[in-house]
Amino acid sequence: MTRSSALSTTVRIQCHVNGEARQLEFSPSVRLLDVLREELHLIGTKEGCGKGECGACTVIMDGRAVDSCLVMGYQADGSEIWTIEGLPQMWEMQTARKLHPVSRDDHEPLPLHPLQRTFVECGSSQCGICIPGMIMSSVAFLKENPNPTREEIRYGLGGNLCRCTGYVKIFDAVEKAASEMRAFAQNPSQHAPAHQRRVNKATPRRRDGFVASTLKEALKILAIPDSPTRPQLAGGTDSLVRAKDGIGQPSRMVDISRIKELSGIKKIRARGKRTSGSAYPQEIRIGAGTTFTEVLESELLQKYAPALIEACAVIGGPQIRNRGTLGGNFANASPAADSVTALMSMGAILEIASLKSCRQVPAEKFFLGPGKTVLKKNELLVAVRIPKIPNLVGCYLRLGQRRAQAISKVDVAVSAVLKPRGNGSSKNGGSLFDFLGICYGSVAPTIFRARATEAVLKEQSPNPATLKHAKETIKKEVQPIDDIRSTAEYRREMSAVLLERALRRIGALA
Amino acid sequence: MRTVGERIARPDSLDKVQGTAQYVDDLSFGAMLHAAVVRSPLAHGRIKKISTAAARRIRGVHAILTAQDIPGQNLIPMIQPDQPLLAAGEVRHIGEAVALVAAETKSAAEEAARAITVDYEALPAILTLEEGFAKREIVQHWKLRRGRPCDIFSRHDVVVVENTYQTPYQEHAYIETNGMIAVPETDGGITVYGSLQCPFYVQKAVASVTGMKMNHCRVIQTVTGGGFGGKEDAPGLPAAMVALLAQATGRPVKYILSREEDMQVMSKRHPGKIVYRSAASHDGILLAVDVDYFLDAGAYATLSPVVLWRGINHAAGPYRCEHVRVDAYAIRTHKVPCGAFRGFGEPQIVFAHERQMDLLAERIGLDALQFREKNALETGDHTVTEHELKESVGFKDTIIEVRRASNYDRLKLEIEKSNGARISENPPNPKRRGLGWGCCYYGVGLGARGGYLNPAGASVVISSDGSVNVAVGTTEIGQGMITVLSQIAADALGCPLEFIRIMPPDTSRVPDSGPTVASRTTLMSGNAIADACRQIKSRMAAVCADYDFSKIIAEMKSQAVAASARGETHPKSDFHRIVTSSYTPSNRASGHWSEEAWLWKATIQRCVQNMVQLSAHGWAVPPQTTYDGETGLGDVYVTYSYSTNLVEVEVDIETGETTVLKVWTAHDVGKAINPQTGEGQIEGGVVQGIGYGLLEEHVLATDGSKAATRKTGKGGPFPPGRILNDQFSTYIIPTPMDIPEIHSLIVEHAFPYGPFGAKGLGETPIIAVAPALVNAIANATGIQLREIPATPERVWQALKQEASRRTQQSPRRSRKAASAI
Ligand SMILES: Cc1cc2nc3c(=O)[nH]c(=O)nc-3n(C[C@H](O)[C@H](O)[C@H](O)COP(=O)(O)OP(=O)(O)OC[C@H]3O[C@@H](n4cnc5c(N)ncnc54)[C@H](O)[C@@H]3O)c2cc1C
Ligand code: FES
Ligand code: FES
Repeated sequence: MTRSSALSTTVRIQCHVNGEARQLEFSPSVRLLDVLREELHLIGTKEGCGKGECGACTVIMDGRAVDSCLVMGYQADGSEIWTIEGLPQMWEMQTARKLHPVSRDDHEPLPLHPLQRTFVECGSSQCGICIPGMIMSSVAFLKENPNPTREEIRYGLGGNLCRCTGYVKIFDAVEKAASEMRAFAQNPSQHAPAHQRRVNKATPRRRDGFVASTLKEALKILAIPDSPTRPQLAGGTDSLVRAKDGIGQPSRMVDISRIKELSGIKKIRARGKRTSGSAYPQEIRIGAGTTFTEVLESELLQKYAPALIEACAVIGGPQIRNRGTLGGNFANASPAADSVTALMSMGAILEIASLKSCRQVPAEKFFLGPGKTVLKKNELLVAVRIPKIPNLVGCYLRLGQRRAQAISKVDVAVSAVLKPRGNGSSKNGGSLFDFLGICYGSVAPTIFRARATEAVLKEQSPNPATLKHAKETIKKEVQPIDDIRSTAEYRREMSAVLLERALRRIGALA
Repeated sequence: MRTVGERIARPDSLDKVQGTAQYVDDLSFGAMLHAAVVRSPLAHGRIKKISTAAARRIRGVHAILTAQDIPGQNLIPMIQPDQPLLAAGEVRHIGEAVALVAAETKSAAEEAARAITVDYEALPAILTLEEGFAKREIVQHWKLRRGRPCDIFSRHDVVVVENTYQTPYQEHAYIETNGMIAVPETDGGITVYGSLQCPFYVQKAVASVTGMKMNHCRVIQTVTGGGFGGKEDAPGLPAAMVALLAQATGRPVKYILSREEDMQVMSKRHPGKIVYRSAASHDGILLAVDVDYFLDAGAYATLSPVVLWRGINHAAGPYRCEHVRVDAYAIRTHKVPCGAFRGFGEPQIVFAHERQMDLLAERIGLDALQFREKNALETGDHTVTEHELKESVGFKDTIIEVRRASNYDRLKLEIEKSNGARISENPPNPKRRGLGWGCCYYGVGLGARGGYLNPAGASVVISSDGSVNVAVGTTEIGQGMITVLSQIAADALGCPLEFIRIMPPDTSRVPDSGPTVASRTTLMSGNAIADACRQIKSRMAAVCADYDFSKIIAEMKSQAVAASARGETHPKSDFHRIVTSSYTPSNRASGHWSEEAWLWKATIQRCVQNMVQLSAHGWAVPPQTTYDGETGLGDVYVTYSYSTNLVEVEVDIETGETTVLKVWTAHDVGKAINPQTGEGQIEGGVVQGIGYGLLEEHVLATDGSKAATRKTGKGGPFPPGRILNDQFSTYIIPTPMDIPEIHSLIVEHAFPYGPFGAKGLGETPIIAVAPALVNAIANATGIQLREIPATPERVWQALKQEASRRTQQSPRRSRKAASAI
């Protein structure tokens, strides 16, 4: 992609849309949604909110469902995008009934994608405005999970609102299509090798302007004192929502989501002494650009970061999890950043870099207030490190206003290593902690580690009396407020309720 | 083939699943401008000065209009002539429009709107219903007087329950926001395209402000992304705005509201307050109700008088009750005007009467179901307005169906047992299950106050190839009108379904057919179509009776094969061909018509040759209704639909969270023309009802303080009365993760006047869900909420109060016990 002039009035990108290579030029302030609707006249992608809340604008970008209202047009450079209009073509390619794309003058329309057909057959659409988004989400998650339960279908559609249907007939259609698609996939004679063949991605080119491709490039831009552009866009699930409210200009942002150095989840040898608990020889380093979905898919984290997995599983809906990053969750410094609560409970350390230097800050010391962190203007968050503890247990619990696309009213993460009580008897109940991290979100100006409560629990094994003491302590430790989501009083009391439930979940209470 | 009663796939869904359906934002016209609106930041104020000079200098701005630039009347004509399109002199609610801008781009229009400065002098604002009532700001007052309730309440042998109930604003939350495009025509007329429910209301609004004759204001409905009542009268405002701008600039103008703007300024369900007193005999007969019913109308009357009227007509529920006093008031406040929303004034009062029914049953010592059954309306009974029910009363059957499907008696015992077991678990399980009932009835159509709006028209035109155009004045808003009316037309004409096309509603095609509301569409437009079809059929019979069509058919078939050999393809729009997997190119050659279709085509060919008029206008007028304004009595509606819900919930008594596990919901719809769209209406309505009962409400700023600002995380500070939650992350509607198992049950007690026996179905599903939920929460936990939504915070507070009430009570009780010894 290139900025076509110094004034950067337009931007040029290459991408594939519905299987066709496209060269596009448009203003840097337009979203992918606008590019699809206005440049390509693909009107099937709808706008219901412009803030990632309704899913009407869902398209598939590089294999995953995303809200196209939360992707800038320039971020689509080099991507493969599918919209509702392309589904018959996609199905044709997958089923390899034809190995070449249909020629344009063939009047015979391609058969509908099974999901499109079952949505008609099951009476799943009423006003229809949500339907393209629903179908695109379904296509994306059936690819990951071809044989979903009803509950998994609900989870897969968690990022899509429908006001007409009550969803029942939508679930029916997805179930029906899934079974047809499985039947098709199981029939090898129809399953040509081209099935896996993807459209060639646009050739990766040196990108400048709106997309930073290396960490150094991004840090260089940051180092310029009054740079007109700032690396500000990772998943965009916070910054583009703010931009819609008139805060920040996307045309002046730089995409950092493609930076290699910000991705990857790997084991490393621990560096330096840890600030909390005993030192663990191994650590896990998670790139700041890791998305919630990537966290959920990581076997390493499934094994060693139970609280983080549980937290990421309840964030937003699929589209938000596919784009939102850990780095953005930290840098945005909302008191309701779910992955932060979980990571902090594990004693996470943050790696921060500027062009000249690198530094490490414990997660606990990162926040200065709501929306305020220790990050300087010229710095980027590069990675989050957590200790790799073999027998770590953990859990994450939250209360939200509903079961998907919800912001926490109060949430807690507990990570611990349990040591059975002396002389092997557990009759007195509970166990001692070798390591204990308890963090709360949404009940104070920032996410915080409940040190006083940890102290109560750590010194003695949690029997009913200590538990009661701990619950009293946490109620004093939190500083909740009344806001649009809940009341201070409720949040305070729930902090204690969730504490007990979390301890029980990890097996620390008899 | 008869299609009525069949699960026919919706013809309109094919475009919707392919993404080709054109909603208003998908349309554009050459040289189109974009609109933005300057809106009042104050609930009440005097406009001192409007400065537009800076805005006019912005590049791309073509017009800026204020009240004084309106060529017609500055009035949106509704029931009371009180609402201006643009505030003149005084603003009466936050978000009221003050000035309009049209510019080359949306961003230029918005920039110009920001550059317009308006000086206001703030005036005292009425922000609560109570304050408005105290100041006698009454938009409408209706009365209902039947029997002698005072006598009943003064008796000593009756059980009396009295409570005050509160219900919140509810947002329609259609996923497509409101939007309109106005296109100037060469003859000086204006065509308006938009997302709307009632083309004739929009037409009147446009004619009013532009000063044009109605036949010059043509309104065409685009595919509409949800309405639920929210696009009934309210779209008249954006339509009038774009029409004025188009008139001023001579160019097409488009205006699509942002989600936030839509939530701030468009209509909503009225917040309600109901003071409800009921009396029953000890053996379980409902004797009397005494009710004061208040709705917060907001700044202008809009549809509030008739919303309120529907509420009062159903004030005692679908039960016999001979002694009634109700006073119902719509109160004027300085807030956004409320209007129509699915259920139309019923959900508020139904919440109250269905809670009352449970509380009475408990006091009497009857099961909630038994008590309802004992008092349920049946054929021959009189409604609360003394309307004698002569036919089509399926209420009891809805109860029986739900009871059967849920296995209620066993389920109730099973739940009691499981709750008992949970208490004694170690550690105790904090989840309690509960069951709750909610019933309602719904007068179909506009009823006696509908007046000239009641009739509906239809035009049916058959082309020479047998295809049929049907035009009606009511609209498809997702509820399935196109499907259901196609079925009615096909069966009435006796032609295959695929020949029918329901045209997009257009005011130039059909006479005023009233609004698409009150579950009247199937009934009224269906009857109008049937009327037109009858006229055509009788003309057809004159030339077709006893005629042998086999020769014509054979000829037509061979012509089709020949055409196909020449490469002429069958037109693409054939719905069944695309969705049916059995379709193959080979049967396309013969047009794949069924024998039935060939017969129809042949019949039409013969009629054409014999110069039969194959078109007609149909007209439907509902049976007589009556109403007495003094007593509120009369046969106020043509008929009623009935519904019963049973919900099972699980309440977490530590967190106050309620999970809805199952809903059984039965509806007497007369006749389900299409059970699939019927179920769709039921499921959708039930989920909206769950939102209403558990999640949805608007939070308003009470003062301009910092606290209010902090609440939203957006700028601010916000003036009193401003809605603080105006987006989908703060106004909470159910997601796919929040819905229960729903068992939809359809009961059919045919209504003789309805097409094929149909009544209406659109609204009953939402009405009695919230009380069923709150009744179930009471059943699970013992707390008695009088306010919705039953958020975890409210449930938790009530649980806490209940617990402290119990601990306070028990020492007293033991003291009493001690003294007794
Ligand atoms: C509908 C919806 C639902 C949501 N639900 C949840 C939820 O349940 N729980 C939750 O916690 N959050 C939720 N969010 C918020 C959001 O998804 C998360 O905060 C996410 O982690 C943000 O990451 P991002 O990559 O999208 O950030 P962006 O929007 O790209 O960036 C946010 C900010 O962080 C800065 N930033 C990003 N990466 C870095 C870096 N590496 N170094 C320095 N600065 C950086 C950016 O400059 C910007 O200021 C939701 C958002 C939406 C729209
Ligand atoms: S438009 Fe609602 S999520 Fe994008
Ligand atoms: S069908 Fe109308 S919003 Fe889903």
